[in-house]
Amino acid sequence: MAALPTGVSVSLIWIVPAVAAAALLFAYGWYVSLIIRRNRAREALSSVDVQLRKRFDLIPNVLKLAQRYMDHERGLLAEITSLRNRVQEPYRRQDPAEVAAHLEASRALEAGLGRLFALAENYPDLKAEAAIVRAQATYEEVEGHISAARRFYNSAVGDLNNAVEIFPGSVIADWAGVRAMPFYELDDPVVRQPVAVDHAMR
Amino acid sequence: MGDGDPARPAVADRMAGLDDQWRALAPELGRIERWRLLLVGIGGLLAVLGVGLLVWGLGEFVGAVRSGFPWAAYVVVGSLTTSLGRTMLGSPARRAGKLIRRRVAGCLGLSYQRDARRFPIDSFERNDLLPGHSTRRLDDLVFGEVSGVPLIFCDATLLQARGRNRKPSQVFRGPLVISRFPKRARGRTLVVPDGGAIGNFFRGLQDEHRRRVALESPEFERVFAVYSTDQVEARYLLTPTVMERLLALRRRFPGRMTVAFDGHEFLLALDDRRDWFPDPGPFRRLTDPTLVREPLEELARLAEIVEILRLNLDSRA
Repeated sequence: MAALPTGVSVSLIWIVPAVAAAALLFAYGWYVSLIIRRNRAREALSSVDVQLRKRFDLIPNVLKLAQRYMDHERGLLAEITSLRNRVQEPYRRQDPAEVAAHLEASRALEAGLGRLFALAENYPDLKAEAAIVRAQATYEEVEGHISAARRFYNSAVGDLNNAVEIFPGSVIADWAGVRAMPFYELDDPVVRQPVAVDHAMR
Repeated sequence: MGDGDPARPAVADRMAGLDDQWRALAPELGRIERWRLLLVGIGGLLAVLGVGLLVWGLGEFVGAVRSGFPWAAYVVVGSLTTSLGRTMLGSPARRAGKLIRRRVAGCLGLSYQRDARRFPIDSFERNDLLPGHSTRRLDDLVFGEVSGVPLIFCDATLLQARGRNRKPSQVFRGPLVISRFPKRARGRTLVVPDGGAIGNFFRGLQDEHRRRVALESPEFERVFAVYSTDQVEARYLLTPTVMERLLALRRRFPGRMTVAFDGHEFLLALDDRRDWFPDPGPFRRLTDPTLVREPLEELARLAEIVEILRLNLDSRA
């Protein structure tokens, strides 16, 4: 094998470690940004939980009032109680599957409460109760905060998932054990229903 | 005004009953007009005399003329006479302007005061809505309710001194508005014009309490940058609907617009470098009915802030 000219070998001695150092620095930078994004997503998840806690605190009072008037809806009331217990169960924030189950339970609880307030419209005595009017106003405010927390969480998760799933982030994330997190999506069947344009235009 | 938007009441709609107001104003304005004609004569003469004295003083100074009086005496008396003449010239127009604005504001269910020193500007300073300044002038206090929403307005001019011998420069000129917001803010949320990547970066460094809030609307993010002490609350206040309304407001009111939420209050500072309620010129006839249209249009624009933002709706959207 022919020996490399002296100038070339000296250059290689410097270039190879310099490229390796640059690659390491780049990988470290990406790793730091992944951890920042993951922590931001976890912070946002905590904000969601803080807002969900407000909803939990509201539910017992609403159920107590509803039980007095809504005899025919015992099934729904029991379902809401059970959903509330499910949402309250502790979960590991670092496990995307557990986070997804927790968010799914809170979606179901939101839908259940929405149904309850909709059905309350059929009970004039309940509707006239000052406490339920107050509870409904508080519920609307709490739902506004939950919706805001959901937007914050989804924005943080969107950033994290992009960094985790796009190459070379996918490699670094895999190595660092950072995983994509589930979105907290709105599960409102009314919103998802197709609009009957013909009917609306008539 | 109007712009063909059916949701926006036209000036003509707001003018209902204004003819009666104008008729009620006419005798008073007629008196001020006669006074104006007199003062234009006297004030004009004084101004000409003052300028003449100044020129004579200059002549004394350079030795072109000799009268036995010191040149400084001519300059002092000339300056005072010119100044008196100018004040006399502008006085009827100022009085008429105030009268018309008060009447027009009353017609729209609002109150008007020229002196706005009691405007709660500390809310704006607390929320970092105003640039640093050394002196300020607050004029044209308008307050009352628009579509059931309390509103306070004033026209602000902020000046910043730049060194001992330099004239202070104007750092803000435009309206400050406080209105009620249907939601309560506990933290501090600030909406400022987008400063680009570098501007936003430095702004973030300046503010240690508020963090940048990245919102979903690309159009909103292009126009504004949001900083808040509470990421969730910022999104609670700035729902997609509110973002759209702020963009509509920005399109309607050119200028540097900054917004903050403080408790149940919505604070708006618009640096548009305009005097919203100027006095009529000293040579304008004060019995001209079109004089009433100008303040009316400005007050209608003010009412539009509430209407575009729909602050009257107790909506969670």
